[in-house]
Amino acid sequence: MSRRAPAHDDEQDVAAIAATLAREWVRGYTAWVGAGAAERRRAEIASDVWEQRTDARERGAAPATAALSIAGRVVAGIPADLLWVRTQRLAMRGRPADRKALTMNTLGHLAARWWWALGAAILATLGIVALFSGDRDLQRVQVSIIVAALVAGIALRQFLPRTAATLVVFGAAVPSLLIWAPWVMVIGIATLSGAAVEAVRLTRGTANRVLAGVGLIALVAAWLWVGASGVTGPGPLSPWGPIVLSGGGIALLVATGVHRRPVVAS
Amino acid sequence: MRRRPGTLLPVEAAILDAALRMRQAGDVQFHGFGIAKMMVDGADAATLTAHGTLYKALGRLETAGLLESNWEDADEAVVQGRPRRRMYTVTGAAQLALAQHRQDSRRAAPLGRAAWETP
Repeated sequence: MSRRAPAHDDEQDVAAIAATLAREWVRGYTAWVGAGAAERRRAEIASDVWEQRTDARERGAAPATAALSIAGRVVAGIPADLLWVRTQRLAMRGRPADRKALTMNTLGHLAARWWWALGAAILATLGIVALFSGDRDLQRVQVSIIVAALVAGIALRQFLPRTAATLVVFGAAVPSLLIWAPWVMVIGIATLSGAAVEAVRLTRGTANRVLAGVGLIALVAAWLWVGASGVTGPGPLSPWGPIVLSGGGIALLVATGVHRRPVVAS
Repeated sequence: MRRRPGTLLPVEAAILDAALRMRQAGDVQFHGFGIAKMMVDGADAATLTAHGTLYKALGRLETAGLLESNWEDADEAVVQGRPRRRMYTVTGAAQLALAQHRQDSRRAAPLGRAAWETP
């Protein structure tokens, strides 16, 4: 069997691009698993792709064919890769955080954990600017409470993450739904959603998570009630409506956040 | 649907089959791409097994004790100017598991078109 002439550099580039695609994909999804499993999978794929390219060169196959084959293997393996990540993450539950794995994708990790804190910072800055703007119509007490909740949420993010997320949900509720400036509402809704998901995620057990979600909704509803109508606003339920709603919401959040310590046999 | 413990998925059986054929040919150890290539040689399929499918199956087989693996010597890879390979070896249990899988497959009733065609 005759061998083909060596491929041009441009053609080889196509295979190199496919190899890079494979390595980057594996780099991306392994950022979410433990360091040992991540390093092994990355090294195995790097070796596999290198072997495939070398094999294609030795057989005289066109680099474009090798590139298509590599890309096809990446795409066809995506469902299995994602299931593998899920299995690895389930196996990691309850183990101490694997710092090395987390730092392997520091930027992505920081973005995933802190993006809503950034939204909270933007909303708090807007509130502070409004407080110092000299606007006579501004409800200063309400804005001060929002700013305080958001700043406290950011400050406590590292130490009391569930409390911090709840404070940010509370602080972002009014900007997301009652301030009629589109970009403020977009930032507010994104921040509120991110913090709410985090608060629920940090709650243990499915039933507790559902109840914590209900608690957050009640808290936001109470705050919006006050924001829209005032405590003594319209409706036969005022002022007890917001008080009962917020009290119930806080009680649910506290109750679902309390964990019983395991009984240690003496 | 969960599968019965001890049973093999088709991709796992194909890996073990290819690994045993490689062993018969004198290659006691194999690496990921090597086995993917061998699987294509022994089947009608023209495409190599996807990365995700292959390495997930290799991991499962290792967990089940049907394969053993270790990294090759780093110096060897450096000398040859390539990334280090993870080398796999089939265990004695793999041969038994594959034989059992073949027996079960033969015993299984044909389905669909196969059932229609079966006299």
